[in-house]
Amino acid sequence: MTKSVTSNFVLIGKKHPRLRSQDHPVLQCVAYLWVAAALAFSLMPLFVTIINSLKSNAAVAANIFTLPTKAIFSDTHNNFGNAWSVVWRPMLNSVWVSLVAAFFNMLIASVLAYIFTRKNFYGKEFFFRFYIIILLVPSILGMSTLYPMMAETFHLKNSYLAIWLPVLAGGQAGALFLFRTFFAQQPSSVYESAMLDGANDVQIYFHLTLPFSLPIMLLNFISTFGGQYNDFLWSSLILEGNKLTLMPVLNAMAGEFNSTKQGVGYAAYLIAAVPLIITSAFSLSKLQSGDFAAGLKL
Amino acid sequence: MLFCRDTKNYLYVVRDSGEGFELLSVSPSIKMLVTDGILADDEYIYIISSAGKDCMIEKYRKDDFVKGDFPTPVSLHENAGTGETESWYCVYEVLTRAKDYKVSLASTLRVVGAMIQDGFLYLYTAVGRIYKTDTEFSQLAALEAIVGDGRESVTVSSDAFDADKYYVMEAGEGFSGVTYYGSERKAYVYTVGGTLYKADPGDLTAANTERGKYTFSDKVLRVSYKAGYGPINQNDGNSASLEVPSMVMHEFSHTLLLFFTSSSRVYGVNLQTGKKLFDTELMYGVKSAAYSEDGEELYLLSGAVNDKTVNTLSVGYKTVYKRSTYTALMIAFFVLAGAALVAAIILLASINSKKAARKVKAVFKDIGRQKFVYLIVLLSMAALILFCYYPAVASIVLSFTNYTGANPTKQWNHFANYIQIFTDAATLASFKVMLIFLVADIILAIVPPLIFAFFLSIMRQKKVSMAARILLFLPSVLPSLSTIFIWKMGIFGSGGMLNTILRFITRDKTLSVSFLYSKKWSLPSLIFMGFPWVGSYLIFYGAMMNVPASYFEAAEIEGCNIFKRFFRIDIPLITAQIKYVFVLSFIASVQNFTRVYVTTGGAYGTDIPINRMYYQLLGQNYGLASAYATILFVFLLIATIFNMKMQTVERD
Repeated sequence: MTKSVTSNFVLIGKKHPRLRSQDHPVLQCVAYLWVAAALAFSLMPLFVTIINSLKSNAAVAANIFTLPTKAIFSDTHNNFGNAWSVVWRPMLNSVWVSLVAAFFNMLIASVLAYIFTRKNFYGKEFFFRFYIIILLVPSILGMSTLYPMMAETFHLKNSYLAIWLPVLAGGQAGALFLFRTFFAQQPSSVYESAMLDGANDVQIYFHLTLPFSLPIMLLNFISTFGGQYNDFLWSSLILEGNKLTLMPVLNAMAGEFNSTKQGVGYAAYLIAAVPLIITSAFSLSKLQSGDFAAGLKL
Repeated sequence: MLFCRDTKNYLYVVRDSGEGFELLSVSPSIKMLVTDGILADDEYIYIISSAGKDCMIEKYRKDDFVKGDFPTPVSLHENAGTGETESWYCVYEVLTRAKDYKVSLASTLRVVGAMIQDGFLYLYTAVGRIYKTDTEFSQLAALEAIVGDGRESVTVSSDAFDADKYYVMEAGEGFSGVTYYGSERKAYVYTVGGTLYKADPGDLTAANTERGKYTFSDKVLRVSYKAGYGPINQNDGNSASLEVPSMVMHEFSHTLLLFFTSSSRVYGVNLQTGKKLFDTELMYGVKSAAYSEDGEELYLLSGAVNDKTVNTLSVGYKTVYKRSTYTALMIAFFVLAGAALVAAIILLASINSKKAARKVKAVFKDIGRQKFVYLIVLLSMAALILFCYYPAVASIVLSFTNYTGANPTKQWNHFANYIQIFTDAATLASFKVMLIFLVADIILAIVPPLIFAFFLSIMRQKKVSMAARILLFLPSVLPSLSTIFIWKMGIFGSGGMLNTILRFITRDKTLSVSFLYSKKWSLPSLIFMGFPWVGSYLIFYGAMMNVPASYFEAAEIEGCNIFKRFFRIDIPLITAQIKYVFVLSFIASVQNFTRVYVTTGGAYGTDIPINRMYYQLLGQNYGLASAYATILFVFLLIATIFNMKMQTVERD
């Protein structure tokens, strides 16, 4: 059933018509050079990060471009060890917060999408418009009310609920919109025959809807995870101390990481990327898509 | 800061400027309160100040404080809660400081309250003594002798002095507050042990004593103590732990409010029934308070007297205490229920009345059949309203108030926040910077990725193209904050890539250009971040791949060259994607907070509105922050609507 879902995507490798004028050698040269240059410049920061994480702090401060030599390699362990000791707890916090947020967002939105697609009830479209309208409102607007509400009225300052509640409440709108589009494309004949066979809603949801839409739900999971993992503004407002997530901590360490402990800093950034690497690799392996892989980073 | 009123209901607000007292304003509309410091009768003002161990009474002629006829007073209400520390409007000038009298009762005397009745001054102290003296202080010597004696207890005998003119009485307990209920002509005395007594101040006679101590007989209530309330050591009148509450009497509802400054609590009791009305935490510590004449408004003074951050607030009578979580949830529930009701009514109203009854039955039957569906949708909508709609709407409303952390009274200051934003040169500059970023970000989000996608699409070797796409995926795996730091330190830093290359090129070992921290280079550097701006090339690439082959074959036959093809065919056909990227980068650019906050913090000409909003939020200026957010919201809304209108041309 994944076929019907991915047919909207671009499959890499599809035959594309070529113009004879395209094959002009000068043009091809320019194209390759341009792409190569863009690639080099895009990868340079990453390259610098990797090699500098392997160098000692002093070596990094001395010259950013030198490759780590055997002698300098000995400091790699220090860099990563130091970085790990600073970063492990906030990273675990981040991963936990993001996982819970992504999981429940996926769950809630898929249940809602099932209801809005397969069920008819009074006021269905009326309620649906409520979800769409909120997509127009930027999240910063509510912040000056949400912060006192969370911190003082609900006494949720420094609690992860203060992150999950607004994220889930707001996230359900976008995810619902996304899921509803996909669920609507599923063949209703299968559903009808299931209902004729006497399956109730819960069974239909678990045995039909979920398997049909696993790719898009996974995609939503990963993108919500990434979005929450990267969140800085709200987390730094609402959390403190041991409960801090990764981004505010990286910001707090920026003073040191930018001056005396640059090698450690680079190592920390690489470590911080690990959960994202895992989720990105996972998403790439599941889908070969054009629009959405780019859409993840927007 | 002290309030007081005289018999003609004029209010005096006096500030201790450190060198003496200054009268600051007078208003005839505020009913009295006061307690530990300033009293007035028809002609004189008495200011009782106790600082440390000294107690001093100063008596001033009222006329000395006024310039003649009372002009229309500026009501406190207008300026209340501006949050400015010295925003007292001085209606009158102090012409002379002719002190008619100055009595120094220097000793371990801690006056917790005072009142004036019928030409006598009554001072209540923490150790439980009541000093009665006439306003002429005719027996000052004797009074000073008693006070200076420091004896623990004083036996009263009427031979020693003229009991009509001056008196000292010991009570059974120490006091921590006194207030005068004018219409009843009674003093409400709050003792150290937490008991409130009602007494006639004039009735301090030896006949009411028991073993030499005056006993209060008319007990009104017992205030139970919580941690942080009330004094701890009864005998030590100078104890710093003695918490003297401010007492406000609301004569209309017979309510007494006790404000405990250091614990920020307020305790309300109905004096007629003796019942406790509320006992709750405030958002601020109240130093003293007074009611307006009609009893509708309560004027509060928060902050410490010697502290420069004193604010006056004016609140509706009932808003003194915080709203609870319960109330917030109830509000959300009622809003939701109300919305549902409105929807139901509209639905019914649009239906012919003949069918109305049938329709209603059908709706309810459906709800009964699909209970869980309605329940889930309702719960989800409740969360949406509580955490998304309500904050957004409330923020817009808040932007028209003066809501700050120090002054949570939420009074309308109409467009004051907006005027403040638009008349501040620095803020206007930040809007300009935001527009510069916006234009740059949009161009960089569309043009370079488009060119890159084009070249990628015409490359001969598809395998190389695929390899490039995979490699380009790698940098996006780093968290966005890390990427900004890497740029800040590793590229723009003094030991970073750009500087290292420049040093190499110019052979100047000491060259170090400060890219992010100079007026000249800050803004361009921030825009440069993200070079080579490959961005959302994948969307364009995918769209280019989707162009039907027939177009290209037709172009080939027409003799079109590659550039013509690009501009005439490719771009128009992927206009939808270009618009998509346009809108998304528009929104992202306006809301991009981390880029500026984390690098320059808004300095060196890179300040943007969302950055300023963050600082306002941290500074608890919620009203102002809401105004910023509303402006950005309106800007985004206009842009989105404009853009949607433009998208009327569909790709065929």
